[in-house]
Amino acid sequence: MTLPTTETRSTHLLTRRSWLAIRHRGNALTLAAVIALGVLVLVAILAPVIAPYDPNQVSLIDALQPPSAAHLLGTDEAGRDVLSRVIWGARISLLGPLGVVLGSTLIGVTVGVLSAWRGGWVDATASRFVEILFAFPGVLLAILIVAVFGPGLASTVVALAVAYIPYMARTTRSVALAERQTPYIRALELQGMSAWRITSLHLVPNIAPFVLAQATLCFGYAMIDLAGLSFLGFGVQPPEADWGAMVAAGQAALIQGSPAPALAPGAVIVIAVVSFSLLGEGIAERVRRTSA
Amino acid sequence: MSAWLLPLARRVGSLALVLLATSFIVFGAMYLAPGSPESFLVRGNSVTQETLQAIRDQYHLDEPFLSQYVLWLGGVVQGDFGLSIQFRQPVSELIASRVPTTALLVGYAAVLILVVGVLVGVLAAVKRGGVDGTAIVVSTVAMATPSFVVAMALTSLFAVTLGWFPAFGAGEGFGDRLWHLTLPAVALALSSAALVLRTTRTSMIGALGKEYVETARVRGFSSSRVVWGQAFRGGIVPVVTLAGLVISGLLVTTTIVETVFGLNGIGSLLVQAVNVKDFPVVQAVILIIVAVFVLSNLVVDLLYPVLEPRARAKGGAR
Repeated sequence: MTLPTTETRSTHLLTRRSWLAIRHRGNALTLAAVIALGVLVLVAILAPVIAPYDPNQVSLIDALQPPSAAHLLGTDEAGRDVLSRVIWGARISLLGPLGVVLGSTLIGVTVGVLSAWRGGWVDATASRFVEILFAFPGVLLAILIVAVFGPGLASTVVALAVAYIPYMARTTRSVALAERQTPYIRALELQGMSAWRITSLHLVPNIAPFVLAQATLCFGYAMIDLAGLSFLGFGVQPPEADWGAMVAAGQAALIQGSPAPALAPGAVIVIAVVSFSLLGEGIAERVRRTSA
Repeated sequence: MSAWLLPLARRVGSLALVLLATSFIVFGAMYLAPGSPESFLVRGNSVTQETLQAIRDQYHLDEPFLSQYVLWLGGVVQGDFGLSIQFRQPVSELIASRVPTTALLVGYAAVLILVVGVLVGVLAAVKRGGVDGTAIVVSTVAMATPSFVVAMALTSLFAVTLGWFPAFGAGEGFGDRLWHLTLPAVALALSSAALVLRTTRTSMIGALGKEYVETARVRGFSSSRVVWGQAFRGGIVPVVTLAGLVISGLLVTTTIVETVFGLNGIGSLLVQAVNVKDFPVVQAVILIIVAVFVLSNLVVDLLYPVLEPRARAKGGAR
């Protein structure tokens, strides 16, 4: 019979050791994520150089070939090279979420800093606005916008950028509130420096790591949401295709027993999103440790 | 009791405000479109002069903007979403015929999320080691996998290669329906189950280290009684809050999953309505999903003091 106390002590030891292991593993994982994302960005930039075929070259005799030396990931229902399409698709698949994150970060940080700095009715109004937007799921807002303005990359990116504002605004507001109370900001205020200069030259640069961590996490979610909207046919329109649209186009071939045209772009989405969330967690962890 | 009632009243008030704002966005969106509202409403659909007049009447387009909104909202509150432009049939009937499929699908997925997420989460927290490591890796990947990618992988393996489950359709009769809805439910549930697993694990690890759990252990309670009788009661509270959020959020993802598997539910109705430019249906489905989403958040908030005795003692304040 084991004594409960020894058991608990050993679990404590175990947790401490595994926590250290996780910290090391955490660094290795963050590094792996950075490498994976670096490769994806390079692939997107170098698409014209590294893609073995023209991604839109239709060749019906070559339709639905299994993976081979000539076509590493096979061909799709129109005989287009799947690998080349995945490589070219990296461009829109990365630029779309980038647009969402840049837009929501710009507005979200402005709203968050403004509410933290001004407080009072500005804060109350902004908080209500954020609360209402929170209740409106991003994909639904995007579908509403598509229903009004028609499908396209621009509609979905703008709609998701608006829908993601709350995530950026809330994080920014809470860290900016804490930063506002710090002695150096008070000192600058006493010296008579203008609110605009304090916030833009000191406060925002100081909270930037928190914002970066949140924005990186949002990048992954935005990629899932945008790919889903493209999958439904609401995002980027043919002949251009991001990975989401490619998965949708591959469904018919998958039912006929050729899964590569749908599963290859799907797998790349998963790799990208895992990398963004690991990187986001890694940055958040580092920020927590240095600020603690 | 009044200390509990006041925050409740505030919550209901803010809920009403959110719903009012949502309805305004959903109604006002029509005016953002280029051209007049009636040309927007009928675009792409060939309509007779009577239908055009019916649409004008439906949206009270002869009234000023604000009375249009108030009249429309008055109908919506009574469950009257007007007529579908495509089918010339009440939108409420159209939606009602689609509700059973979506309800069964979401219910099925919710059971999967709770059973798999909570059980594996508790197991990972108790066993640690290899079980825990595997659970973390699998859940990290699962959380990053969009529902349509899960759907494709499941279809390829279980419908095309193995032939165990159908790739399309909702089936007839309860057993057959469950069989048809299995792959869609897994596709819908996977990433949420992973999130619930993670939260359960973290929360249970915290609860297992608490003093009262330690006391139970020292008093010689069996380990299953320590885990399920003591730690679980405290550890489950954050999971309930999260589960309420993710399960109501599934309604949004049904747009994708129902479309992939050819199911006639609310989600695929919304997608079809956007494609055939049937705006009254779009408005109604979006409003209903947001309302369900917001209401379930309220229910979870109300459940919180029931589940968490300390919050009740503090008068429901969090």
